[in-house]
Amino acid sequence: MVESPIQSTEVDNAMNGTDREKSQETASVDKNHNKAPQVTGGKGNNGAQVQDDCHVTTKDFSIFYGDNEAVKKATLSIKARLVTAIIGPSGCGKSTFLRAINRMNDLIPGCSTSGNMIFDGLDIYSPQVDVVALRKRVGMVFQKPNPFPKSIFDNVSYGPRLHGMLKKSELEQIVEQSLVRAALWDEVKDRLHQNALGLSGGQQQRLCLARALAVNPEILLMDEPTSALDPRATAKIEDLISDLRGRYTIIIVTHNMQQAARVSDQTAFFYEGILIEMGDTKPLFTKPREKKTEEYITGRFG
Amino acid sequence: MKLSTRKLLDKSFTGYGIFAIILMACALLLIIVPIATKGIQAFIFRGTIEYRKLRLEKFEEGNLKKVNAELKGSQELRKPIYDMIDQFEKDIRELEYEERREYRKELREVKKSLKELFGPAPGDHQPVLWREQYGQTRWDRAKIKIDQVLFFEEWDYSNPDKMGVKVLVDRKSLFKGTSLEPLFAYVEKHAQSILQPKLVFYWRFLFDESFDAHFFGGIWPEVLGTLYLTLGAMFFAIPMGIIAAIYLTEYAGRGLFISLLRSCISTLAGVPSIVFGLFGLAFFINSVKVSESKSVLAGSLTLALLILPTVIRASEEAIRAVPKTYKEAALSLGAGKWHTVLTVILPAALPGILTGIVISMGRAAGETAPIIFTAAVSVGKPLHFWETLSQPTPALPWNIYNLCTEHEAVDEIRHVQYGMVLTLVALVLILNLAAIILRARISKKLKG
Amino acid sequence: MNIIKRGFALYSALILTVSLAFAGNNKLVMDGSTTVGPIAKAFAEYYMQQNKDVNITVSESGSGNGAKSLINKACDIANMSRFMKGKEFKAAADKGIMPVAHVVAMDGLPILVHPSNPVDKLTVDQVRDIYLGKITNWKQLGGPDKKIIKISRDTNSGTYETFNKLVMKKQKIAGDCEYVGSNGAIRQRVQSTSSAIGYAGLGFVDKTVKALSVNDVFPSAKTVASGKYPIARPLYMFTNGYPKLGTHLHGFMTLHLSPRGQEIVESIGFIPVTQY
Repeated sequence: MVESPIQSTEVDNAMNGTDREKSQETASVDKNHNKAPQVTGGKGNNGAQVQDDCHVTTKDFSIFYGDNEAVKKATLSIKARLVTAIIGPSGCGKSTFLRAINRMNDLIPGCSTSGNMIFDGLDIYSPQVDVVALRKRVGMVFQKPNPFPKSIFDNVSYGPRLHGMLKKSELEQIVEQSLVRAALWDEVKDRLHQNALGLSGGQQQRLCLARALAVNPEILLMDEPTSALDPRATAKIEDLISDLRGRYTIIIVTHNMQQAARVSDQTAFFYEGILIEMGDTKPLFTKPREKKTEEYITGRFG
Repeated sequence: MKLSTRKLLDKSFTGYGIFAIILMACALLLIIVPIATKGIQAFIFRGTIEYRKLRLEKFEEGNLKKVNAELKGSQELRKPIYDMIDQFEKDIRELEYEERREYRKELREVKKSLKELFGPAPGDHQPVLWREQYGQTRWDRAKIKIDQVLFFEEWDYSNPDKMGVKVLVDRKSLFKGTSLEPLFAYVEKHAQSILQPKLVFYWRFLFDESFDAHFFGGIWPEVLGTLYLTLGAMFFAIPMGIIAAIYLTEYAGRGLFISLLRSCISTLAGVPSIVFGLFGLAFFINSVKVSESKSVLAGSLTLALLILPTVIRASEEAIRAVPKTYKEAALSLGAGKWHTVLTVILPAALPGILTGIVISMGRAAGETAPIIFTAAVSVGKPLHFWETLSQPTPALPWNIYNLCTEHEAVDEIRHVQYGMVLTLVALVLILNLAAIILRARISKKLKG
Repeated sequence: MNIIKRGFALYSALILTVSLAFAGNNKLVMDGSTTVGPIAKAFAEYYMQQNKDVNITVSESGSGNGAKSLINKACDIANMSRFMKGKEFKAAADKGIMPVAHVVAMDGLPILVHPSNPVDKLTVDQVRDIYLGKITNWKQLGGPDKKIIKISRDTNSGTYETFNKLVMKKQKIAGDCEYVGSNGAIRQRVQSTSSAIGYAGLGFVDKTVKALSVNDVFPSAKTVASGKYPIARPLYMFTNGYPKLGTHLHGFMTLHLSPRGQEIVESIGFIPVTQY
């Protein structure tokens, strides 16, 4: 896979910290949509991976709801620009773990953590971390589609506007680019200013995806993104995930083992808060190392 | 439960609901219909030649030629009346002292009634008060005055066990055989042609200032004052209320202090409005001295305090009703708490907040007690906008009370009282309607 | 940048508004008695017609409130139907206000009953006994067998103070007396209740109520002006010091001395101070 010179969007430059490594973004092959503003900067790259193999690493990471330890001392590494699936039965802590990565658990009163979660060389739970900047780099798509009760354009441009991009022309470019990446552009390009709640369920979820992509995150967290959608919409989303791989690191929590097998490169299996097994997807599903994993996969419980 | 019982209960429940609605509609009609029919008479009535004379002389309105022609005709018809009076005065000079004195007394009454009906007699000194410069301007009042010329009230105290009984006595009988006797028949026959009543649509009732203590003119100072006070109250209460609601829902914890604060707000909603008025006087005018005397500013502040609990409560409910998912989505994109509230939660809660505003607006427009001591006066000019900071103003609710009780001639200005009531009710309805339409529009935009 | 510009514009607009508010100083605020109210309102309108640039506002909240407003510097003219009490003077002096009384009219206090009431005259003592509760039924006075319903002004009123001084001789009114807040309200109560008795200013008497002769003197302009009618009093307007010459306040406060002013007083039903 040949990667052309890196281009960063103006948004990135505006919010740049000096010690952050730029995300790598391949230029869109489709000439019609190649309208991203050109800004020089960032390391030139022609295929060699500059950064570490692992994007997010946890070490003995636990999450507590009050006294209840929902996730028990999880130690794992998420590989960059690959799709990692987290599977397990209900209540095993997978959603909790996912939400810890962009610190959405901070919203829940009584929730605390112990251990380390390292992203980009820094423990994201250390006190000097700016949560707002973190959430810009780690985006999230929720289980139930939740577009704002605003127009489609306002939904997708919400993130960039938030982070300082105010010029109309730039916003229009970003909106179009994000909607293209979410495979929604053709369906909504004529009604960008209509209310987003008028879209179907599948379209809304793709809109949420576009909204998350608009801020150009490095990591995309997806919490059971297709559980509320019909099979057609589900298939569309899964296709998107495949397209996005290689540009973003995707971590997807799913109830559906077959989905995990279809889309992911790596899989982690949680059971009752404990990380039982993690590894490449194919081997994990065909020849699991742990007994519990095998029992879950063959459907003996869960 | 048996199916038949269940059906019966359903039907009776529906019937009860319909009955309640009909009862309420009847009550509403009972209140609104008299207000509307009597109040509209302030705007639409039969105005006499005196009315047209008034509009021409004082307001410079109307067709000069036409009115003068009508006036000339009217004066020609009046001449016999005054001639009869002059003749009578000459006649009684011949009589004995006692008799003369009696006739003089009765004549004085007749002349007084005629003056109230037709205005000053030709050659009379021009009075200073407007109400005495003109005869009756409204035909319905004129009819009453005609009766007062033709009859007078006497009380029959013959029954010692009961209060006296009113008896209408023909004034004609007092002047039997004199030259004044034909006067009454003449007045009765020609009053209408003298006064020449015509239908008038006095829409300027809303926009004219009042003259001679509301005897003439309109109610513009009161309408403007009510608008100033209502909008001023909104101006102060809405930002405070919304921000307080945001604080209570998003930022406040659950401790004892916050519970105390909440119960204070609930209690404030039940405080009688007169207490607010006294508080406004003591705090805003005497202590903080936002203005030297009563002023619209002090009144608006007091009214704002009155409606604040309602606004806070409605806003709180509206903000709580916004789905948490919006907040999550915004936060996950990297928005801070305040930014989320401002750009996502408040716009979504706007319909509910507007409902609270609609309710409070009606209350602020109609409350009397808070403005008695802080902003309302009986008489004043309509204020320019910058004068509202330091000057008081007449206002519809207070002036309705004032006109109905304290005024020196309550019966003469009934139409003004009803007109004011109709205007106040209409004003509140229009303000509410505007807010409801706005809310419907915003709701539609949010639902897609 | 947009927000800053907008904020600055709003701020300057506010400053302009406030300064204009203090610039437009042509206003006179009157507060006080409901008896003097009609005179004050008529004077105000007349004066505003002659001088278009001044705004005179009139409140009618009672003589006591008028005095309080003057003492608190909340009004320029206090209308009062009684003279200021000693402690009011003291409170004024403590705050640096020197009240000056201007008598704008004379007033009598007719005793009012419903026109259907056959009783025509009473003595001052009888009126006092009625309000003390010693006489409770009209038949004790030669009328029909009906309970007397007493109406009085509230204690804030100058009219009440006059009544208290000249009729009640400072004795306490009976407990079952009704209190109303203005002259107009007295008239309303009496005209709608056939067995009621009340008192109000002379300007408030009309065909719907009947004035009684007191001590054989019928209240009229002549009998009040000559002093024959026993319950009479001057009507005052108080200012803080004597008004400065050339100001609107001075122009207004000398209106009652002019023939037109006296004519207004008489037209309303009160007694002018001169025979103009």
